[in-house]
Amino acid sequence: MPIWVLRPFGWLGRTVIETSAYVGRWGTLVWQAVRALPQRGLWRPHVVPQMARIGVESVPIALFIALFTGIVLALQASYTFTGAVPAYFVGALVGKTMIIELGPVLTGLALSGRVGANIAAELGTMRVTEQIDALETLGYDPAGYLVLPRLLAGTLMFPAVMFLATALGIVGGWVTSLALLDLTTHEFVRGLRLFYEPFDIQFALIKAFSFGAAIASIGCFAGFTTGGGAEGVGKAATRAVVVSSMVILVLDAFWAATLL
Amino acid sequence: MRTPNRREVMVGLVVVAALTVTVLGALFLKDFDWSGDLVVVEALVEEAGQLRLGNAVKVRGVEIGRVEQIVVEPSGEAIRVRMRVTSSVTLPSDAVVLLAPESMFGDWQAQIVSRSAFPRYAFFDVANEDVLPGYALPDLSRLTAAADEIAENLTVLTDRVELAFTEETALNMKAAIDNIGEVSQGLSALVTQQAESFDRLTGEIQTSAAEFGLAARAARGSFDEVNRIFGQGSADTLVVDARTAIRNLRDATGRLGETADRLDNAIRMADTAFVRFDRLGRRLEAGEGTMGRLFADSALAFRAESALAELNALLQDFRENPRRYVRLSIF
Repeated sequence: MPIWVLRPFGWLGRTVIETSAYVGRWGTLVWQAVRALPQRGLWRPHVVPQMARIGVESVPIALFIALFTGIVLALQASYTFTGAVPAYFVGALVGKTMIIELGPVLTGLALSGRVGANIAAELGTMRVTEQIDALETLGYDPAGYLVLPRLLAGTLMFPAVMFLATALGIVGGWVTSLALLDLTTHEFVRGLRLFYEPFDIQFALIKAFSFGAAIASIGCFAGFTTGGGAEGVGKAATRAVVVSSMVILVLDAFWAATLL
Repeated sequence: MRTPNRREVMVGLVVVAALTVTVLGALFLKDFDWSGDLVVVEALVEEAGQLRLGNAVKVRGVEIGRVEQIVVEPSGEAIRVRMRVTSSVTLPSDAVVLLAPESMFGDWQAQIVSRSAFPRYAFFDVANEDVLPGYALPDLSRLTAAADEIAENLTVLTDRVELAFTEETALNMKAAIDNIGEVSQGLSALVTQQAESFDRLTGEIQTSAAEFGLAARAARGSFDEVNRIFGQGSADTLVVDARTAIRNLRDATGRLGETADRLDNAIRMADTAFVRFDRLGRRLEAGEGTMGRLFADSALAFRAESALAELNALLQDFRENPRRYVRLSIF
């Protein structure tokens, strides 16, 4: 059989094996971090600082993105809903879209760039400077000491950041509707409540937890698997952003397909 | 207890803020009853249509609550719709729940209405007085299906019309339309004529009304004058004069009666004379009597005329020569 026929199969098989290995190593790291949960003294002091770095310091960028997303949503909705569609549907579109889709996804993408890259660069630098090796030498569990606090912080703080961003996005859409569109507060709120269901909050919460965990764990894994000096750190940060962004979108589709 | 550092405070603030925003936002979007003055109203319907949790509950078009729960009854024969509505609203005594689309975009509403206003709808029979009977209107999809069926029927009808509508039919219709046009013109002319007549009549009525007005004013003046006369005390004189005039009139009437009686006698005598004269005329015409024969026989008339002439001559001669005929002697 000619070799050019075999090459695509070889590439596909190699890709599947490498991806599986990557996922397997990632899963192993996460599992090691979860296994460190009982060692509270190891990870507990680092959780709050990581929550502050991952969550609190990410609030401004998340709010900024959400605010302008809400504004654009209201404007585009009014542009689309000319004619037969009632104006109060602007509120319905802004609210529904911000709660179940754009709030979690845009916040996730923003934090994947900021938080994922930050974690990957930090841990990658520790890896290339052999600080992680030093921790292992000193008997510390690197997964429990470095990964678990970041994983917990990302998983717990992402929903908080996401809900704040979603709320501000809706407020942005509301203010835009009042200031720039021929819409009253009553109409906007009517549209906001029109298709609202309590499950929307649960759905957004599930997304937020999964996105936060994915961003933190992928950033940690990218940092832990860094090699090749400063260049490797840059590549690790880039890889963390790209992979976490992709995972966020895949998870978004996954939850939509399974829960809606 | 150690003093929390700045990071811990910030994290706590963000978490609390996020929780607060989420909880309050969810309650706000769910239209939570902050005042606590809502009551539960339940209804049974045969089917719920497109009604969803959170849809509006309205009375006379005003939103008074939300649909809280939609469950199938254990028997499976009905849907129980639970609504939370404002307690301050008094529902109609024969209140029923009508589920209907709120707009064309799929959102539904539960309207609490009076059953007497919708006698044609088959509301669900409810034994429990605390539960309202309900009825769900067909949703837009069913209406669309009905519209499709109507469209198909129209297509069939159109095909049939196309078959029946020949050139001859068209010509007949054209002729009919022309006739209708002529009739319309005639009607138009008639209407115009009637309108003109009506205008004239109206003008005359107006004129008459004006004249009536003038007459009424004149009558009013006369009445005023009569009032004035009665008011001035001349009434007694008028009554005395009127009594005298009536007495004179009565006398004159009596005389007139006598004259009339005499006139009757004269008329009767005249009638008798005319009868006689008529009988005489008929006898003359028939040639009876001397005068009749004289009128009927021309020869006799000539002879009579001749005799008269001779008599005249004799009388003339007697005047001129009396001694020839009269001999006077005393002894």
